[in-house]
Amino acid sequence: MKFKRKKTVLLINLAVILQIFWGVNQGKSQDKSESDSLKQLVDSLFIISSAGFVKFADLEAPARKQLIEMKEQSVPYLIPKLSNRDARDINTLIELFKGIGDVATTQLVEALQTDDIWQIRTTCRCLGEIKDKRAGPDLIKVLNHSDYQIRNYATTALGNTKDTTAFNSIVEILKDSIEVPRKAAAYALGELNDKRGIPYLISALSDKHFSVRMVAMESLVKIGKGAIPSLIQLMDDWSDNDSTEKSNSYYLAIEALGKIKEPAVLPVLLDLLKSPDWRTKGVAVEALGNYNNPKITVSLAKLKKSETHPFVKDKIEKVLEKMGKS
Amino acid sequence: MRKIVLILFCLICFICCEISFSQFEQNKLDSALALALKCMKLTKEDLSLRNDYVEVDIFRESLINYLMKHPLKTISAAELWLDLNQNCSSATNLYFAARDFETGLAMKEEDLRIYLEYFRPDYSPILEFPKEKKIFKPEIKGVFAGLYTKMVNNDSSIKARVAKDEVLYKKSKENYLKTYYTKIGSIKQKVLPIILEDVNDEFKSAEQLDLEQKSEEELAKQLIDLTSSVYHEIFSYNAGATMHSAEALLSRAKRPNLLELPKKSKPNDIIWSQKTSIGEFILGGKGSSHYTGSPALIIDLGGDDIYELSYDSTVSTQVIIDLGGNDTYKALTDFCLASGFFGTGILIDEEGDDIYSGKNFCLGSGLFGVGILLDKKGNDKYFGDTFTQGAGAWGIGILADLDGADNYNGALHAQGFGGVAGFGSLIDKADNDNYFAGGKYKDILRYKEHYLSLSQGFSYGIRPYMSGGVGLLLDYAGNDGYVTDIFGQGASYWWGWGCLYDKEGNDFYQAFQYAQGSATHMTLGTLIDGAGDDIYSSKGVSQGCGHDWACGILLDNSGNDNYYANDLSQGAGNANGIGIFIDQAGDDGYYVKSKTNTQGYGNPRREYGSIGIFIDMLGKDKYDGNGCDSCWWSIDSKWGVGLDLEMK
Repeated sequence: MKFKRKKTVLLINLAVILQIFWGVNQGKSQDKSESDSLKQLVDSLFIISSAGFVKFADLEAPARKQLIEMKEQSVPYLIPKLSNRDARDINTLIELFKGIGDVATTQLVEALQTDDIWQIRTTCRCLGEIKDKRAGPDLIKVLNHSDYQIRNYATTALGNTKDTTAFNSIVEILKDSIEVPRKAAAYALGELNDKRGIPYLISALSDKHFSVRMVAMESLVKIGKGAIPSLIQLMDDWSDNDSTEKSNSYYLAIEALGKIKEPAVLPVLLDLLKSPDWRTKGVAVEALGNYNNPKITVSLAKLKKSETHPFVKDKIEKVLEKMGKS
Repeated sequence: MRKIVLILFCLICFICCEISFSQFEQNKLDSALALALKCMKLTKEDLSLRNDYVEVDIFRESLINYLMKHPLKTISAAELWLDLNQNCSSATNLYFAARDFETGLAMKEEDLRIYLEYFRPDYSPILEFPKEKKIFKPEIKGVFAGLYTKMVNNDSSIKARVAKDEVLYKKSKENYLKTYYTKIGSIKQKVLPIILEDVNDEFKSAEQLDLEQKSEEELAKQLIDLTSSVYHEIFSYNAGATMHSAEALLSRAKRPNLLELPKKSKPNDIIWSQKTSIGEFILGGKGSSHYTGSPALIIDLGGDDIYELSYDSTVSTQVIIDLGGNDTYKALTDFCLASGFFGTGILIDEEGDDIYSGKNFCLGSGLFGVGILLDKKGNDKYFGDTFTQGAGAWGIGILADLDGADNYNGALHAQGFGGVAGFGSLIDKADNDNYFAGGKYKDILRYKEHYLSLSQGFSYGIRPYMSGGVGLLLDYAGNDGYVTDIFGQGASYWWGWGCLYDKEGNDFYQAFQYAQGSATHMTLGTLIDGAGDDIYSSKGVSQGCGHDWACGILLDNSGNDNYYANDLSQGAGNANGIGIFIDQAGDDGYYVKSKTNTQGYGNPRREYGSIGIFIDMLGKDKYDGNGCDSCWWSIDSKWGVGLDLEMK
C-alpha cells in the first residue's frame, strides 16, 4: 500500500516534469506557454496541497514541499488565490508563504491594495508568518480598516516583525472597541519587547475580555524584569483592599511574576502562601512552580500537610510532582 | 394572534430571564460554574462568543446571534422548546410553536403588498360534492370547502410571492406561473447539489473533488441572490391556516354521523375523488385503500392502507389525513410524504403501527416550505435518506410522534435538522425509541470507513456563505438509543444551533466524532439529558466540546451515568472554542483514553486560549482519566479545569 502511494507521488512528479518539459519544448519561443505550464503546475500542486481528504493525505506534504521549493516561481500564481474563502485554501496559503519566506514580501504587500477583505485578511496572515520588517509601513496603513479582523491580523503581523517604529500605531489599537484587535495589540507589544509598552499592558490586565487580559500577561512576561515593579505595584494596590474580592488582574500579576522567574521576587511569592484567599494561594503555588529552588519544595511540602482547599491541594501536588521530576 | 403574542412573551421570559429550570437548580449550576471560572481567572461574561467573526450573512437567525453571545442560554432555550411542545398535539400548534420559536425575538413583518396587489386566487373549478350519493352532510361539506379555500390561498400565495420580484410578472400577471416554475427550477438546480451527497465521492480524484467543490461554491453564491427574497417566512401564514383547516376537517371526519358511507368496504375503498385547480381530492373509506400519484388531499377513514405517492411540482400543497389502520406510506420520488418544497406538506396519522418509507426530502421536510408529519399512536417505523424526519432549510420541517415505541432511520440531515434559515425538529413524546442516522455517505474528508450523519439535533450552514439554522430533537420519555457516526446528537457546524434534549429514561448515546454537545466553527451544540442512568460513548470532539469559536455543552441533570471518550471530550475547548461538561447528580463513571486533552481542557490558539470546563456536582464518582472524586484538577492546558463537587 505504502509502495503504491510512493509510486503515485513519483508518477505525479514525473507527470509534472513532463508537463514542464512538454511546455518548454512546445513553446520555446513563447514565454506565455511557459508561464501557462507553470501556472498549471502550481494550480495542480495547490489542489493536492489543500485537498484535505484523507485519501490524498500522503500526497499533501510532497506537493507543499514542491511549491515551497519553487520559491519566487510559484508566488505569482499563489497570489490570486489569496481571495479564496475556503478555510483549507487559506491555511494552505499561510503555510506555503511561511515556507517561501521574504522573497514573497513585495508581491504580498501589493496584494494588500484591494477592496476584497478576504484577500487583505489572508495576506496579513501570510505576512505575519514571514515576519519581514519591509511590510511594516503597508501593514500600518491597513490598521484603520473598517474590518476588525484585518486590524487584528495586521497588528499581529506588525508585532511579528518586531519593528519598534510601529509602537505608537499598535498602542492605538489597544483602544479598539472590539476585543479581537485589542488582543492582537497586547500580543504585538510583547513581541516588540519595548518597555514603553508596560503601562499599557498593565492596564490591559483589567480588560473586559479575557483574551486581552491573558495575552497582556504573557506579553509582560516577554518584557521580563522591567515589568516587575509595575506588577508588584498592581498587587500592592489590591492587597491594601483585602475586604473586597480581588480582580483577575491581581491573579494575573502573580502568574506573570512567576513566569518571569526573577529570584528577587521569590520572597513576595512565598509570602502569598499565607494568604487566607484560596485563589491567591493556589496561583502563588503555581507561580512558584516555575522556579527551581529547594526552598520552595520545603515550603510547599509543609503547606501540603495543612492545606484543605482542593484547588490549592491540586496545585501543590502538580508543582511537587514537577519539581520531583526535575 | 393572541397565541403568537403569548408564545413570544414566554420566549422573552425564558430566554432573557434565568427561570428556565428551577431557580434553585439554576443557582447551584451558576455557583458551580462561577467556581470553575474563578480557577481560570475568568468571569461568567467571558463565556461569550461574537456573532461576527465573519460577515453576518442575510440568512443568520437572530436567535443564533443572541445565543452566540450567551451560549449558556442554549440550556434555557432548549427548556423553552420542550415546554412549548409539552401540550402540543396538533399540527397547527406544532407549526406555530416552531415558527415563533425560530423567528425568536425578531419576527419580521409580512410583506403582503405584492400578494394583494398582483394576485387573485383561482378557485375554479368550485369544489363539487356528489349529490346523488349524499356522502357529505352539510356540516362537513362546509369544513371541506373551507380547507379547499385555504389550500387554494396557500398555493396562490406561494406562487405569487416567489414570482413577485420578476419584472416579467409585474408586466404580465398571466405569466406568473411560468416565472414561478422557472424560479423554483433554478433554485432546485442550485440547492440540490449543495445538500445531497454522492456515494461515489470516495472514488473521485482530487481534481474532480476540487472542481465539484468550486462549482458548489459558485452555486451557493448564486443561491444567495436567488433566495434572499424567498425567505421562509413567506410561507408562514397560509400554511398555518391550511393546517388549521385540515385539523378542523379531521375532527369532523372522526364523527360517525357526518359522513354517509357505503355499508360494505370495497377492495380498494376509494369513495370519492375530484380534480381541482390545485390537485386531486380523494376520500377513502374504512377498508384498505391504495393511493397513488400526487393528490392534493387524501382523507382516509380507516383500514390498512398503502400510499405510493410521487412528487408533482404543480401540487404545492398536500394534505394527507389517515384516521386508522396499520398503514404503509411509500415515497416513489423525492419531495414526497409531508414534504414542503415551495409549498406545504401535511401528513396526520391518527393511529396504527405504520411504516413510513421516504427518499430525500420527506417525512416532515421543509425546503423552501413547510412539512409536518404528525403520528398520534402506534409503534411506527420511519425510513428516509437525506433531509428527512424533521428537517428544515429556508423553511420548517417537523416530525412529531406522540405515542408508541418507534424506530427512526435516516442517512443524512435527519431527525431534527436545521439547515440555512431553517428549523427542523423531531419530537417524540413517549415510549422506548431507537434513532439511527448515517451508514450511507462516507466522510471521505476525514476517514476511510466512517459515515456522515449530521443528524439528531443538528444544524449546518454552508461555509462561508450562509449561516445554519436550528435543529432540535426532543424525546420526552422512555429508554432510548441514539446512534450517529460523524456529526450528531446536539451538535452543529457553522452559525447554527443543534440540540438534543432527552427528558427521561435510561438512554444510550453512541457516536464517533463531533457529537453529544459539540460545536465546530462559530456555532452552538447542546445535549441535555434530564433523568435516568445513561451511557455516553464517542471517540472524540464530543461530550461538551467547542472547536473554533464555538460552544458545545453536555448537561446531564440526574442519574448514575457512564461516559466514554478517547480524546478532546468531556469539557474540551479547542481553537478558541468553549467546551462545557456538567453532570448535576448521581454516581457516575468517567473514562477517557487520552488524559492530555480531556476532562477540563483548553488549548492556546490565535495567541490566546480556549476554555474547557468539567463539573460533576454531586455523587460518588469514578474516574479513569484526570479527575477523582471530591477533588479539583487542572491539566497542562491553557485554560481548563475540572471540579468534582458535593453540592447537595
